[in-house]
Amino acid sequence: MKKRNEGFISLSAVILLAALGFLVFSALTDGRPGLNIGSAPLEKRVSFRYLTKSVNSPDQAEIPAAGVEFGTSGYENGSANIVTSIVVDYRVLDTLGEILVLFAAAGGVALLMQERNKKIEQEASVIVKTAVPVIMLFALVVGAYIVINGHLSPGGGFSGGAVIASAFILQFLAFRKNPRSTGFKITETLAGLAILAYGLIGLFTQGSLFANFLPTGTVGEFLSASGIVILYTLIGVKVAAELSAVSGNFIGGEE
Amino acid sequence: MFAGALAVLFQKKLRNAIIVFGIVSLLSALLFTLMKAYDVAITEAAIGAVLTAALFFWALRRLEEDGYEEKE
Repeated sequence: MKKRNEGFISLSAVILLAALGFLVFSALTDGRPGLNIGSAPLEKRVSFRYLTKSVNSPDQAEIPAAGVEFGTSGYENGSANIVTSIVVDYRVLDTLGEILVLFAAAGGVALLMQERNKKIEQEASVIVKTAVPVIMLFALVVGAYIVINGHLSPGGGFSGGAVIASAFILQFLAFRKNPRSTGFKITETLAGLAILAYGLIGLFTQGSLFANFLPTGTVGEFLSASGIVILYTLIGVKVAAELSAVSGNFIGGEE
Repeated sequence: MFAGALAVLFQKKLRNAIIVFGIVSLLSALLFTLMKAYDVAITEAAIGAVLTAALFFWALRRLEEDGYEEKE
């Protein structure tokens, strides 16, 4: 089947590929300082500093200058978990892109599944109906813990949000209750707008998008790294609402 | 784990393939734990083993409602 704009689409694909190739080529061969990949020694790059940051005591840290002890206050973003501080602070623009990708995927599923609204005849068994409330309670508590404790221990918004969403999936499976509620969509929209608003506040007060403008506290305490905690909580709420809405769209059932 | 990942492709029934896929996800979560990547392990266990498997099962059910039948 020949489409109307086929020639135009092929031409723009070729142009985009050529531009990408040119960018990669110039990044590899540019001689100006700081632009060439091989221009700076490994120890002087920012990524090296991120990776060697450690909460072990300085003599145990591989690079003594990069060691941060528990109890240090006011250090950069104040997070004890290095993965989290990279994901939500240093490289937060990538995380923003990740959120947008998830949003687009959820929107696509909602668009495709719009028409399907069959009533489900089968009832869930008594065992499922009895066990699900208990399991759901535990899953919600664990998910909230993973989200809120992301700056201290492994985990964070994405994984915690997925755990919370799995609790809602269990609820759908057991009770067949109105999974396509608008509540999820409103929550998701509000959380997404709040993430953008947080980034813009950083832009206007500190001069760069998603800059830290809140006090960072003491490394290792629960009430520390407030920027990371707020951002990761918003991400967790958004991811949980999105994944629940996606599975609700798949499951269908009565409105 | 790799054998399991290959076995997913050669299952005769889609239902069995989904179950083996979930087991492979759990095993890879275990592998991430052994490599001390706990963040990735939590995400893999929640998304790979629970969410994806549940969505696959529902998609399979939709196929069956539309008249798809598994080969015996």
